[in-house]
Amino acid sequence: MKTGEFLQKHKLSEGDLVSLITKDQAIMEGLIVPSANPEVLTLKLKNGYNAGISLENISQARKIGEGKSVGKPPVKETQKDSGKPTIAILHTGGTIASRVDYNTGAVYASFNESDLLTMFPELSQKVNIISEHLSNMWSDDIRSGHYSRMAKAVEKYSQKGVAGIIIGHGTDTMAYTSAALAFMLENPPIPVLLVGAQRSSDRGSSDAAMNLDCAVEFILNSGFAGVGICMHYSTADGKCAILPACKTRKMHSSRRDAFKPVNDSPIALVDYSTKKIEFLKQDFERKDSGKKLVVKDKLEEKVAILKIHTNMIPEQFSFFEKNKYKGLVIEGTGLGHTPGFVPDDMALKNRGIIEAIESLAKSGCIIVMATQCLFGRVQMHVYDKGVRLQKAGVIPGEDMLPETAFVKLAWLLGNFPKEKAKELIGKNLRGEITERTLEESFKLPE
Amino acid sequence: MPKLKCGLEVHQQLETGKLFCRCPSFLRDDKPEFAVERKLRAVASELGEYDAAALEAMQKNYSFVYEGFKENTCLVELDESPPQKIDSEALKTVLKIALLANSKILDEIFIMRKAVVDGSNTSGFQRTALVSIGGELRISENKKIGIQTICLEEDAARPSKKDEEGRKIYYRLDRLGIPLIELATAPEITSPKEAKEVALAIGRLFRITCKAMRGLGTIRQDLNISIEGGARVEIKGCQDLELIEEIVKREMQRQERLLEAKNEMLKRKLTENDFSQMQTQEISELFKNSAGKLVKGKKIYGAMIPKLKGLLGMELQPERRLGSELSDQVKAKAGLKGLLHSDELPAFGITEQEKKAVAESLEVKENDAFIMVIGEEENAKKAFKAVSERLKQALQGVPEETRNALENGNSEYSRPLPGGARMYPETDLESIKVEKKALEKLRKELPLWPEERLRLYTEKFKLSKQLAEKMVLDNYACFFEELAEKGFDATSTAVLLLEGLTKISREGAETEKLTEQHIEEALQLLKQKKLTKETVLEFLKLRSKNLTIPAASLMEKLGTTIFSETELRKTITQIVQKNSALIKEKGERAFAALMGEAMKELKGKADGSTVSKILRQEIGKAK
Repeated sequence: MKTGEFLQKHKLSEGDLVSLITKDQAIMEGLIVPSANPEVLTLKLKNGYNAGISLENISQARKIGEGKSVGKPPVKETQKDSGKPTIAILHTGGTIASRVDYNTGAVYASFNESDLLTMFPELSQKVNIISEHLSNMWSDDIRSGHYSRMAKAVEKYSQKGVAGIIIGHGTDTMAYTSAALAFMLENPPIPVLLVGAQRSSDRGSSDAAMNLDCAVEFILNSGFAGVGICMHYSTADGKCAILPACKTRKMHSSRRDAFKPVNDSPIALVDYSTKKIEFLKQDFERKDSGKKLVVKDKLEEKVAILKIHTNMIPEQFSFFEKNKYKGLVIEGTGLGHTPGFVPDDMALKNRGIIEAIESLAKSGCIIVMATQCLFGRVQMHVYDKGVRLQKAGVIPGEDMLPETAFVKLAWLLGNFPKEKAKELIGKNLRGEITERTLEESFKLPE
Repeated sequence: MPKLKCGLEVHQQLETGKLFCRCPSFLRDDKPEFAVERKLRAVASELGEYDAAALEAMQKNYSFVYEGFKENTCLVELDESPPQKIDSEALKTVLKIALLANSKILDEIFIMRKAVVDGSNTSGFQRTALVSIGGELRISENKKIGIQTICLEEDAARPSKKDEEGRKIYYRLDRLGIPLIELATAPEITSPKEAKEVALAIGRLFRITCKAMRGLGTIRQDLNISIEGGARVEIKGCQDLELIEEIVKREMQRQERLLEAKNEMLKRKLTENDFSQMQTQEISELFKNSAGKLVKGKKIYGAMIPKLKGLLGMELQPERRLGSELSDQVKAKAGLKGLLHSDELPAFGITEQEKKAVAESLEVKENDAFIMVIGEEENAKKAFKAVSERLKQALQGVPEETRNALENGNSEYSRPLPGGARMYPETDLESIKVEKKALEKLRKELPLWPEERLRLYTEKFKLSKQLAEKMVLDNYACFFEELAEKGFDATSTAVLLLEGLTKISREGAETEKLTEQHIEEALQLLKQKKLTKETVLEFLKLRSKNLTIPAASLMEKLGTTIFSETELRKTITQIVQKNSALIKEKGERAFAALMGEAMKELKGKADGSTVSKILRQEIGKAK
């Protein structure tokens, strides 16, 4: 028997208070909560614990009361204080605000202003909040349309005159989004900060509150304009880093300080306790209400990233030609290399790789080289392999991250004619390419 | 003695790896290798309410500093990585305990998050799982005690120090994650003596698994005590088994006396109102030039408490009075060091005159009393409020609360009884489905009860009663049984495990690094006569410092190649020849001296009995 049938048979439903007698004479009382296992009935006992009893072990079951399902509290009206600046918070995912219903153990995501202000009371003292729920999705499922929707929402609130915009976002592809928005939003007059949580916000240890608070502080008091990421700078709850939109990457699957700048430094650090802002760079755009925001939100979908490895075959490259791709970022080895030479009999299968790349370029696909080392600059003149690849039509991506090159290429192809796109790929437009690589920019996670 | 209702809750650390990561379970007291500072937020419940203590900590802007060592702290303890699968040894151990106690194991075990607000867990919650319900434990010939629940959970970080000024509370992460088995009995204990017996029985149940961590602080006992007419009081931290009986006795006494105090207060026609309208006043002036160091020049506030003369000084437990209970409240709720009351003055440097002056200032009449606190006005206000609340409770009798056990068996107020545990599922971990087959297999591997072990060791393994009794509750018992069953000589194995390892540990061996394989290897070599009783310990000493080199190389290092009988006889013959004069003179009586010389030369290369046998033969030949 499965749980559904069992409940029906005994006229019970989820949320009911039930008393069970098991086949070995134990009596158990508790609230029926959802079971992942269809052969087990899960109860939330009075002592708070969940307990699973096999359906085949239950000899008697009867309802003894209605469960107290508290669910969500009523939404309170928030008062806007005209003396305070307003910040817009857009939610796309990676819930920065959630609550627990201890009766059932369920965790609810919260998006409205009232919830946010209740959960982060320190914010209500500093700002008014407008909150908009764009989506609640895994950030890997994001596609061109979602980036475009985010850009348009930023435009809308920017025109409303908010002091800044915070976007709640899943951390997995947050850096892709920051790059996409940086390119799509030309001349932003206000700061747009992406904020996420590596520890879910239903926990006391969640990093969400600090990341959010530091983002608010930075928006209000830094004079900065443009797109950035605001996440923990170290594992301690000391400072948040404001990270450059096009040169940041998630470098750890779970740490609070997973986001690190690559070939760059953070723009600024915000101290959570003192609220002090320390700028580490001076070359950034300033806030200026006179600036006119221009939104270029098209993205070419047929762009991909291919990571180079040993044991490759030409078909892996001709795949992109067969499928009519308009852009390809090759995440090459070292200074920007791929297999393709045949030094001995055992390397015969490498033959044809560079020819396939050449053919792909000739078909009109713009091919950009980034390095899988992530740190350092692509330099394709140093070794003959690199020279050969350039001759085949591969364009060096300078010191861009592969993910950034991917987003930039898609954006260029979406908004400019092909030749212009080719011209602009190697030019610094939004800080994604730096001319000078400093010694200290090669930092492994703290 | 009034009727007692008492239950015991025991937490026992396990000697396995940590519960949710693969770090080892041990503590270190030296300077930490790193420290990470964090803030914890009060989490809103579904009703939008916050836990008062957590909210206060958040508002005061307290930080928690977590200290650790690379050896036993990873990203899981730092709350920087999701938990890993539950430690299988710990799970097996708790299932065995549940089976031994006839406790009904759930078909599906869920790991829950229990909100923790004092910073003792980096994630803001403790991971805990209910494993079984019900069951019983025999505590004597004719009494069994019922068991309510058995749980498996992670231990918390241990408090290190508190920096009040810097608003930092320090914790050590070494203890965080060590597995704890929690066993809660039904409230069926009916006497202080029985409480001790139950504690002993539970301790034995844990120990026979051979996985119970040993040492101070590895087992924590909490008592739930109420007498008829009293209230349920939880007393935490009864670490010393010997003290349990006394703690129960003194709590029964405390509750009894509180009921007497209540009656006396009613007799004096005291009402809640008397305690709501406490007149408070600053009396610092009166102590500006006092001789008492405690009070001189300090900010002091006083309050008159009507009709309580004599009651504040009423003894509730040896060395604790009703005034002590009020003082506890002041400490807990106002952050002050306590209070002083009229029944105990003059004392602490305060003179009779000063006492009279205070009484006058506060308009204290014949049967009234007064209290004094030292501190700022804001805290004094909190103190008087707390006292007022506690006195109102006194009118009702015994308040329900959580208390901390003290060294002499008394207890002091700690905090209110915990409300419904705020728990929700730990969604980062899979639930544990308990298969019938797996339980059947475990049933066959259950450890023997102490009495059964004693019989086995003395009758089958022929251990001496003394040795057997020592082994029965030792953590080596399970390993010993395995080895004995495998055919190793029981007595020498037992001696090695119980005494030999300790001996070489004192001589510098790192015995904690020796695994069961290492020990078995040594016993095997002993069995094969490649090592002697004398050299096997030397071998293990070396092994603890060279964990992976092959046994043969280790033997070489030891320099003991056991002499064959031929080589042995050769050496002994040489000794005999060298001492032929002595032998001619003393004959058989030369044996003792020559034995000494022979063992000096042959130590490690042969065992004493063989040497002695051959020596006697050679002496006999040479005579």
